[in-house]
Amino acid sequence: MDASDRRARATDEAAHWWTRLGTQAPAEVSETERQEFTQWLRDSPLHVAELLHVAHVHDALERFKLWDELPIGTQPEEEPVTTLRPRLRMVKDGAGSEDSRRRPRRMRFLLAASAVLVAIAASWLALNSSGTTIKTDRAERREVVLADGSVVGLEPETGLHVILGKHRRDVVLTRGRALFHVSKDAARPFTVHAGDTNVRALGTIFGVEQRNQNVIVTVSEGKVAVAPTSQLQSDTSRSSSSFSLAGKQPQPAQPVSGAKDGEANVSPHARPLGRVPGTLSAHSGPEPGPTEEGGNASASGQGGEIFLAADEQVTVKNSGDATPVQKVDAGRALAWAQGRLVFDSTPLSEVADEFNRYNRVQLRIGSPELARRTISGVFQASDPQTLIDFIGAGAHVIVRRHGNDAIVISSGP
Amino acid sequence: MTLVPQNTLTEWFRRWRSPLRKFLVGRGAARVADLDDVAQEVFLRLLRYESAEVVQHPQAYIFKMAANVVAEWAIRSRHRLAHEPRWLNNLVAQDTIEEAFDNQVVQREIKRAIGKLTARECAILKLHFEEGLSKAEIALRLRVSPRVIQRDFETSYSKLRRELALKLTGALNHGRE
Repeated sequence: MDASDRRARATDEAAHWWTRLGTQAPAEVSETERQEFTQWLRDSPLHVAELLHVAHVHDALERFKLWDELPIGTQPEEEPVTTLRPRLRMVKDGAGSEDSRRRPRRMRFLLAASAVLVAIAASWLALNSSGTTIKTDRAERREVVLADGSVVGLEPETGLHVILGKHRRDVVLTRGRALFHVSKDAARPFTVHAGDTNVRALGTIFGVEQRNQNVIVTVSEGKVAVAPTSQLQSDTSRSSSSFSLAGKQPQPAQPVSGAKDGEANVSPHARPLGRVPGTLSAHSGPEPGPTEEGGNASASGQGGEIFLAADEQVTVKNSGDATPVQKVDAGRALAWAQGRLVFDSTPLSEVADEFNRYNRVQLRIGSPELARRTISGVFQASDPQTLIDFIGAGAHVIVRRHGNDAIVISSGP
Repeated sequence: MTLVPQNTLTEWFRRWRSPLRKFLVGRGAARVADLDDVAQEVFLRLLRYESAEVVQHPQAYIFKMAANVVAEWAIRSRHRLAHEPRWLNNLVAQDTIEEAFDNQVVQREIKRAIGKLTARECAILKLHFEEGLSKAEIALRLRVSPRVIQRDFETSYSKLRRELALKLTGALNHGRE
């Protein structure tokens, strides 16, 4: 990252702090926010400079008098573009792991600032009805703002196909993992398709990950409905809005063709929202739990749907079976969205693979016994040296660098 | 009943901006420094304080320190550099700070920079700064989520900072043409 990149990043961060703190009364600014803001200021004179520059921009805007001469309306058209931006915090605050809380704040800031390998490319991608494909390579992370205001954070080696239509928004996750921050639009359901699984949401934050042919869905905010592809297809053949349970349509149940009056949409096996263990392949019936508006969920999603609320996770296996819904710490489970990797008794070979997706310098484990060794902890994805130090602290290892591209770790004598 | 000041970041800035603005528009300033120099000094002063102390009101500290630095430099430069012959050329009638900010050159420059923003970003700034709508009110008006408004604000400020950077400062430093 050269000087201009650093300044550009500092500008974005300053603008973020300015808008974040600019309108908050003291009671609204938490101790944590003030600590983070203070630490950010003390991290670099560049940060101080950019904050003063942004203040100057604000001052200029306050003094500006020629608004009427600008050719703008108050109902601007939605612009069919996406822009790539540096990643700012997306997963809700305060949900960090224990390990990250133990890490000194200054270190967290430095790591966050240096570790996020984000494409800040000022490229613009036109979206149209045929959709747009967005991919990230190894060691590349991107944040993409869709035309509807939704933000998608793509992790390394991730592929997406985005189609924003008039009546629905579809994103196909072809590989990898991404965090979706969905802007609310009740008229256009937002659905992520991953393998044979569909995840549908309205105004929420959730992560979808494809790993070893499994699809892992984790919700940070709001609610989502998870269903097999066949479910979506049958629903969409009737109506795109009928695939709704976690959404904003608390309509009374409508009988479907062939069903008896009064029983078409209400399953005798109905279970509370977000507590639905089971399998996607089973006809488990719709969920009558409360929607965001407090009414009954539409029962038009016929069976097989799993509902997730905040801090819940489900893994859908390739076979179509789903694990029971698990209560998780979303901040920890979605740590990857903030450039952190969380391992829990994970073999070192898998840990190295995970690191290698985030870095150009590739880690190789030189001995089988070392590869089988398991480790637990939280690491910054772009900082493999921390991992190497961690391994070295617990075992005798030999670290050899092979040019600029590889680091081989072997068992020591 | 006493009114409790909001003390938001923007209001802290408003309180201390006068010397900063004076510094920024001071075409007659003997020492040609820029905001980066001020920031460097502010940064050093920030480090001298205990973090716990700054954390109480970081918003106030940052602008008060910047104002102090600018004021101190202005005093120093006045004494140290008062007799340099070439500065005599700059001894022309000065605009007041407000006049300098309101002059046509500056207004045109800000207008040009805002013109680089997208239609929605322009509209949001206009609704906020001209009509006085809050972010929540703007979100309702434009039928988008508050997060979108927040993000557009951030993007607009970043773009304007890059767009206005030297050009506006230059215009301010040169005053009327």
